[in-house]
Amino acid sequence: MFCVLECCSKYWVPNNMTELDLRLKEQLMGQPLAHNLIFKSISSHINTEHPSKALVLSLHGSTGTGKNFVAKHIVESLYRKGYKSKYARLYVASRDFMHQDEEHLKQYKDRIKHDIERATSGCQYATFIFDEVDKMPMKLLETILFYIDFHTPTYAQPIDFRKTIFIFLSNTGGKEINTIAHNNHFASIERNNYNITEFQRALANAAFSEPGGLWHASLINRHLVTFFVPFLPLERSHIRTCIQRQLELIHKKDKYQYILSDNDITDRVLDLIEFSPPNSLLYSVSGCKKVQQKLDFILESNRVIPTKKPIEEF
Amino acid sequence: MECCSKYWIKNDIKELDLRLKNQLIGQPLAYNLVLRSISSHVSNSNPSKSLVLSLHGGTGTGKNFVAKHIVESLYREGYKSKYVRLYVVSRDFMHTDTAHISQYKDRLTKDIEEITSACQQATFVFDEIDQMPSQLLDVILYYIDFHTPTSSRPIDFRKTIFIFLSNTGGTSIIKLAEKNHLLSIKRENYNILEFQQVLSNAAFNEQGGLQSASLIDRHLITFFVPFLPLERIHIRGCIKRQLQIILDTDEYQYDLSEDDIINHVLNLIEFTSSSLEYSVSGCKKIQQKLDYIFESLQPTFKKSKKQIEDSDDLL
Repeated sequence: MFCVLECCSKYWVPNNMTELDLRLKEQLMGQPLAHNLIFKSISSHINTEHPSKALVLSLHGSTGTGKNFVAKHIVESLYRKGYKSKYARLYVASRDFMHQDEEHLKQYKDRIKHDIERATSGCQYATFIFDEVDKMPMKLLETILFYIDFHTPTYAQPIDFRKTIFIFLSNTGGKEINTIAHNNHFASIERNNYNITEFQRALANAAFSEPGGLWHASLINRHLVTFFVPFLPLERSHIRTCIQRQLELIHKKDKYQYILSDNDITDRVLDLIEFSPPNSLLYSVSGCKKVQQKLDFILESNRVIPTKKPIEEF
Repeated sequence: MECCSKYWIKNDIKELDLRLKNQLIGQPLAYNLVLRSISSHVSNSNPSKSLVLSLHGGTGTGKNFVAKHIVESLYREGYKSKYVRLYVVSRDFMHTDTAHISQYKDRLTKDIEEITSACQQATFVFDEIDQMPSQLLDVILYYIDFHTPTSSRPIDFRKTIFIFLSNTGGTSIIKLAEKNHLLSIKRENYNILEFQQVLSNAAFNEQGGLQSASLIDRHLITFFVPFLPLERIHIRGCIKRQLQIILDTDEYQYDLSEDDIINHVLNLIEFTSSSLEYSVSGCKKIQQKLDYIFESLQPTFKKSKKQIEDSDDLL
């Protein structure tokens, strides 16, 4: 199929797994578990000709650990137009499902149904991302559950939803993940060797106790989530790499020289980042989230504008 | 007519620098933080997220003052610009019942989206933000934590600037300032990180909307900017400056020296009673106190310049 405007062809929906792997390898810091889980689950879903149900990934972790970042890379590897594609939809609860009254909820339900059916009938490999899902009212989640729990196209509902991908993002269980990671660190276990089941169990517990956890609970109850993906808190060394990467990009783009060496600049930026818990100061409280801004701030007062060479006289 | 061009959005950092240098008294930390963070944000063609400055400090220390200077240096029309909005929580988000909150949510969403789609570098100032209900704060959250434009939401919010003003953490700032002062550390050398830590904690623990807000939880504030309490010497500077303005435009001469006038006004200012004297209300009531002094001086010491010149001529 060839089409000038976006359509459901190999060109517009490349489902490029090599690209996803590369992006995650080069850009996702400190998340060996997430990288592995996500890459493998999406690959196998895409490569199965007749998946039995939609792929549902639930990404959990504290702020700045890379959840939205990874979702973006997934969407950009699957669809040529990335988030601008007709077949990729992003919903942010605090903006898209802002009001909690009956009338609005009804509107939201209708909108979700309409969107999901429209995108999937346009292309079976549609992706739906729900950010801040812990802030979504239960009723709306039930609407989504229908498509996730979908079995067979019928006369009444001929669209097949089994090739779709649903990605949920939330901070639920973030504290538990951080605690486990902390314990593992002090037991001298390397990040790559963390046991994924430990995290999944903790997330299941958090589901029932944290606010907004109910949604999580019903998803677990109905065994609808393919994988719970934990995002680990980031250590100093990870933040350092984030800073160095950003610095490299900046050096490539602009022609300025700086008074301080790269190392000094990195140290100064690290000083501006807050670490916790108080007794070990092991993890950045905001992941790599504010690196660019803090870096820009430090560079601002360290810039040396190159002087022009005097014109040579003959 | 205003539009989103380099002319109307002048982003004059040099002007901001001058304004702050000349007019902001006793706030070396705020001066530094504000100038550098605004400068680096507006000169970046691809910021990764909006700039969120949270200005904290006691009354009269200069928070609204600084916000005004920022707005006037970035936008030719200042607060009158279409791309700048000032919300005073106690006036704009006065009611807390569900119906009103719903209205406020819609209004905020509409404002922020309309303005930003007209010009990406929009600025939103929220005064008394510690009094804002957390549901409203969550609305702003979306724009501050904005990641990527999508086909359904094509507006990009990453160039915006959010400025929050509140008195939260004021007491903690005073304590830390006192501590530093007693260790003979000069104001310019106070450690900004100490203050950031203290403010971040205060914002989380003190009563008010910020306490339960995901805004703090998700670490979305770029910088906490502390406004230090003002000492006698700073108040003196405020009075002197105000006096200069009056004397420059006034036609009368006064027999009372400038110093005497300043001392009279200082006597009317209330200072804290601890070993370290900080003005209780910053530079806030200087204008009024000065006017009061002049009123009471007038009958006895007023002589018009013309009268003096005439008397000189007669000699």
